[in-house]
Order: sequence, then C-alpha cells, then structure tokens
Amino acid sequence: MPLTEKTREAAARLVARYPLSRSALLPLLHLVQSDHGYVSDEGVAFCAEQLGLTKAEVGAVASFYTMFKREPVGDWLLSVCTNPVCKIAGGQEIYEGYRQRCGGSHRSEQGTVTVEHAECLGICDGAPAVQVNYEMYGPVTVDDAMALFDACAKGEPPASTWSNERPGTFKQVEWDLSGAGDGTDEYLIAAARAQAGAEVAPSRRSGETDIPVTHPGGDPKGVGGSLVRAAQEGVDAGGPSTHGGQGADAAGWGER
Amino acid sequence: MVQIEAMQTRYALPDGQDAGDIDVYLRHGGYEGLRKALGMAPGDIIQVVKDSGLRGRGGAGFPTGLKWSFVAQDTGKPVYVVCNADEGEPGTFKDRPLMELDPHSLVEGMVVAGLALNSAQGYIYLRGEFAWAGRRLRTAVKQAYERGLLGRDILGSGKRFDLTLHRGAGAYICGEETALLDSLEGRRGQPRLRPPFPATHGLYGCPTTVNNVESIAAVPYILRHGVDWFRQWGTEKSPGNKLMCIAGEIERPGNYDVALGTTVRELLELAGGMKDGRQLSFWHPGGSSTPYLTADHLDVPYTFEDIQEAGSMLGTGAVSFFSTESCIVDVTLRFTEFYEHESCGKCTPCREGSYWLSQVLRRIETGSGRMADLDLLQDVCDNIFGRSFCALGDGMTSPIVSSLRYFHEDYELHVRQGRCPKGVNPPARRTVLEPVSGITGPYVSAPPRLNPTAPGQSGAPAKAGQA
Repeated sequence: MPLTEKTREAAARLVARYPLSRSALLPLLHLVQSDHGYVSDEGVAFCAEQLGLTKAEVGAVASFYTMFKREPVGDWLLSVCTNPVCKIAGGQEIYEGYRQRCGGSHRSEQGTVTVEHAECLGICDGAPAVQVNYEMYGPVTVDDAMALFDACAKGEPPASTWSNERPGTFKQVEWDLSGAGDGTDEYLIAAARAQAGAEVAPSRRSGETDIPVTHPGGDPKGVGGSLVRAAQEGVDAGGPSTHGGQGADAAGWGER
Repeated sequence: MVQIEAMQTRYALPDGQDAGDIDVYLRHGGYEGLRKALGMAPGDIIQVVKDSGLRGRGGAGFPTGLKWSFVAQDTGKPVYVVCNADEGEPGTFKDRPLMELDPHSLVEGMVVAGLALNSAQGYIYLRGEFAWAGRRLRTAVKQAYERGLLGRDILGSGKRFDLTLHRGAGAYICGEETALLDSLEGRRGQPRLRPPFPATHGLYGCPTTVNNVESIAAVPYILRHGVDWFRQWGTEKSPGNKLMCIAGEIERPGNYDVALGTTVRELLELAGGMKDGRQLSFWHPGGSSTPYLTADHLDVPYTFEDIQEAGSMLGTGAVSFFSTESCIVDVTLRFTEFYEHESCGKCTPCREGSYWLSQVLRRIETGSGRMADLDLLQDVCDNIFGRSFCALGDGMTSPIVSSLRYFHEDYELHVRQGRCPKGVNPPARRTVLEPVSGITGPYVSAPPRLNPTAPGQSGAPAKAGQA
C-alpha cells in the first residue's frame, strides 16, 4: 500500500525543518504510522528514500523505540503500566485482565483494540494508570479499566481523566506525534536554513568531528557553510526555499 | 512548617484560568523574565543563574549556571539549547504536569537560555507518550511565535531564537543527555563516549547544552524575582524550591512544590501519611535509580548534600513510599526488569547484567533461589557499576545493592522458606510469543495477524497453545 500524497507532502516539510535531514527520522516514522497504522516495510523504504539512508539504517532505528510498531495496531492502543507503584495499586491485575479479554493475546477479537505492557508512564500520582493512544487515565479500578476496554472496543473511549479530552484513533494521534500539524513549519524551515549558513555548519557525524559537511534543511545537494551563505546573500536571509524530500539520489547523503 | 509557594501558584490560578493561554500567562507576569534577559549581556544572565545556585533538576544536580558557562562560544558553529523533556524515571512525574499546566514557562525559559548562550535554535525533546503535554506545548510555541516572542526578531530586539518541538518514541535511555542527542539526530538512542562533552561537541557536532525542563523553567522566575528570592528557600548548597513527585502507598500522591531542606517526614505528612495506616518500610528519594532508604532516614532534610550523606541521591525528586505489605524483592525485581527492558544494549555489563540480575531476582522471588544468589547479586552489581558509558547501569544496581544492605534478612527468608513470605507471585515473563493457531512448535513466531486490507479475516485470537 503506497503512502498518501498528504503524507508525502508532510514528510517534505518535516525534513526541511531540521538543519540535518536525518533528524527528521523519528517524526517521519511517526508519520508513517499515522498513514499505515504501523511502521510498514513501505514506510521504512519511504523514510530511507526521503533521508538518503539505507533501509537497514531506518529499520535499526524503528526497532529501537517501543512506540514504533512493526506489526499493525488496532485503532485503540491500551498501554498498562506495571512498574512497582502502579503494580501495587493494581496495574498488574488490569494487564492480566486485558490479556484475558483478548483471549491470551494482545488484540481484541475484532482487532480494534491492542493491549501492551508499558514501562513507567510518568503518572505515578494516578496509579494504576492506563493510556489509550497515549491519553492518560488514572487512577482506575480494575472495573474502570475493563469498562475502558469495552468502550474502546465500541470505538467510544471516554474523555481522559487528566486532559479531559477524548483520544483520537491511533493514526490520528500519530499524526500529532509526528509534529506535522504543529503549525510552525515556516519559521523552523527558515531557522534550519539560517543555521546552515553558520561559519562552521552543523556536521553530519555526531559529536566526533568538525567536518563542515551537511545537508542543511533537507537540501539534497548536501551543502552548507559558505555555499549556503553565498546563496543567501541578497536573498531573504531566512526565507524558506524550495527543497526537501525528493533527494533520494543525491550523492553524499548517506552515512559515509 | 513547609513552604509550599513559589512555582506552585502557577498551577492554581483564580477562576480556573488556564496558564496555557498566553494572555493569562502574560497577565500573571509571564515573559517578564525574558524582557529582563533581553536587556542583559549573555554573560550577565549566566552570572545570575550561577549566583542563584540553581542545580540541575534532572537527576545529577550539576549547577546550571556552571554548565552554561562551559558551552564553547568561539567555534563559529551554531550553539544549540536542548531541553530534556524525556521524563521516564520510575516514580517521576514533575516535568509532565509542568508542561501540561504551565507550558509557557518552559518556552520562556528556553528563549532566556538561548539568549544566555548566544543560541538561535532550541529543541524540546519531549517524551512521545506525553500526548497532552505535546499538544499544550505545540499551542504555546505557536502562540509565542505569533506574539513575536520567538522567531527572527524577538520583541524587536533583533535577536533570534527558534524553538522546535521534537517528540521521542518511547525509550527511557533518551533521557541520558548524549543518547538524547543521538536520538535527536535520528539515530538509535545510545550514549556517547565522553569526552568530548556536549558543551563542545553536542548536537550535530556543535556546542550544546542539555537541561531538564524544571531547571529551564526556573530561570525566568529567577531573573524576574532575583537571586535572593530564589535563595530564600533551601540551603546554601541546595537553594530554591523543588517540584516533588510523592507517590506510592500514601494517601495523597501528587506533585508538591516545596523548599529544599524540608525533611522527608514532613513530605510524607504533606502527602497525608501512609495509606490506610500501613507501616512505612522503604522509600527511594529520587526515582528508582537512587538507593532505597528506610524508615530510619525519615528525618533527613531533602537536600542534595544530606541525601548523599544518608547514602543515596536526590535524583529527580521522586519519592515513592512503600509499606511493609510490599515485598522488597518483588519491587526490586520489577525495577530491574524495567532496566532490562530499557538498557540500550551498547555496553555489555549493563545489557547482560540486567538480564541476569532479573533472572536471579526472579528465582529468589519465586522460591527457587539459593543462599549463594545473594552474593551473586552483589557480585554482578559490582561488575556493572562504573563499567558502562552512562548512568543507567549504575542506576540499576542502586535498588539491588541498597536492598541487600537494608533488607538482607528478607532475601534470606525468601531462600530459606522457598517462597515469597508475603505471598507475592510475580507474573510470568512478559516476552511470550503468541502462537498461531494450527501451527505448533517452539520456534514459531507470530506474523502480523491483522491484515489491514482484509479486516476480520485473520484477527481472531489464537487460543491454542496458551499454557
């Protein structure tokens, strides 16, 4: 299943927001999840293409982070914390109860609800805590938690007890997490261009060298420093330019 | 009695007003610290922060002003300010409420930090799971841009600062500053070898400072009210107030803003005492990475130096109290499994040690432990401590070593009785593969069972083979 035009357009903006395009990888993976519901193989290939990386490099990153799912997730992802504070308050029972509800697996019968065990969710004052698509609920009793499961299975989760807002579906929430809807792109793209014009531009290798090579602001030509400064002279110093996204074939984008 | 004032007032505005709205924030003196900073030289801002004695609130307690003064300014590279909002330490929940309820104080703090460090770009690395905090910060950043508080020309001063909200994807290790930088660069979040330190070679090889949310959010208040205001709380070495996360088996878990130097007994009273009259057994003073202390340590003043003297660390200010009804081995096992899950795998002692520690602890808790296991635990811990790139490995040994020290008898009781004396049955290990119906055999892993193109066809849960 190819990615939608909306995703491609958002990806181009995300890449251009960073002085080095690779920084956009985590947002891009969130974006892929907002389209496919998980990090699909097409999604990995898409990220690799956008950033000039290999699929293996993208896959290595995707597999490192727990929020990137390599298998399809239902519309409602229920995360249960079972770290000590929540566990003592009943989090373990809730998790076991959910597993039972799912017939021992991690997915409800219709497949719309996915259950996962989570490490500390940073909501110990609301222990035991459950998240529906990263929206917080707590403290919940075992009965509350089961009612939450049923509401999600019907597609109608209640408002969060913290934010008082109802969570969107997994894909909708992932769109938020990608940052594509932040509404500050024009400023950030201009900022990324400005940094690329620094005397010594941000370098590609992390924390190890001073190599003044870069692919600033998603510039597929992969130039920075003086070249960018020269290009910016006479032009609006911070203006967004036409770039980003399409540089799959650009030489020098890869890691070495 | 305890001073609970200062920043806490931000959370309780009259008439249910929302500090996340920039107009409300401005009405209550918001962005005044920024206006002050705009009229100051960068060195002067750093000096004020140094004078205030503000110590990093993210765990290590390094003086923030000193950290800022290390950032290299003469390299010709851009300087980056990164806010570590990847809060994930078990027991800690102070940055999340701060960002949810008062997002503008973080935005303001970031701009001030940018001015102090001659930086034009800041990043807030937000823990991905904090969806609401993300939405609140998103609105705050957008509002700040619209009011000219961020961008190319801050309030007409000609100074530039841009702020990017970057969401993580669920990895505790990214709370470690160099792992955070790697993650921000789009890599696996694994800590870097130091030196070089981020102050000279951080994000994109450029000078960078990484600060905790609470540290950064405190700076505008210090600029606005002055050093003396901040120093009225706390002690000489640990001045100021601290957002405390008090949780566990207590009556009123929650965030409390207290002056450093308050005794832990007072903190416990503040939180309503132990739940249902239970008896306090042990507590950790700053998240799970800090060694446990016991009921004997309740009169320790909550400062960096006093907690250290008592044999632990202040950490993130996350105090969780556990009663005698909780099994020390079980709690320690859960913490260890947390570290096992979150170890990034870069350093062998931490990666392998966490695995074996949780095996041995599980063995003791489920009644098949041996007396020699207690020495084995200590031995493994000694071989992890100080032998990893970052502090995660060190942190994982804290609960084990301290529990062996204070609760050795409990461990012995587990071994001697061949069961948990408190009757806690830890759940089976979580890494259970879901069998596919119709196929048996030990090495069959589950392929994606939800086919997005054909819903319902393969979604039936497999019940066969569930032991």
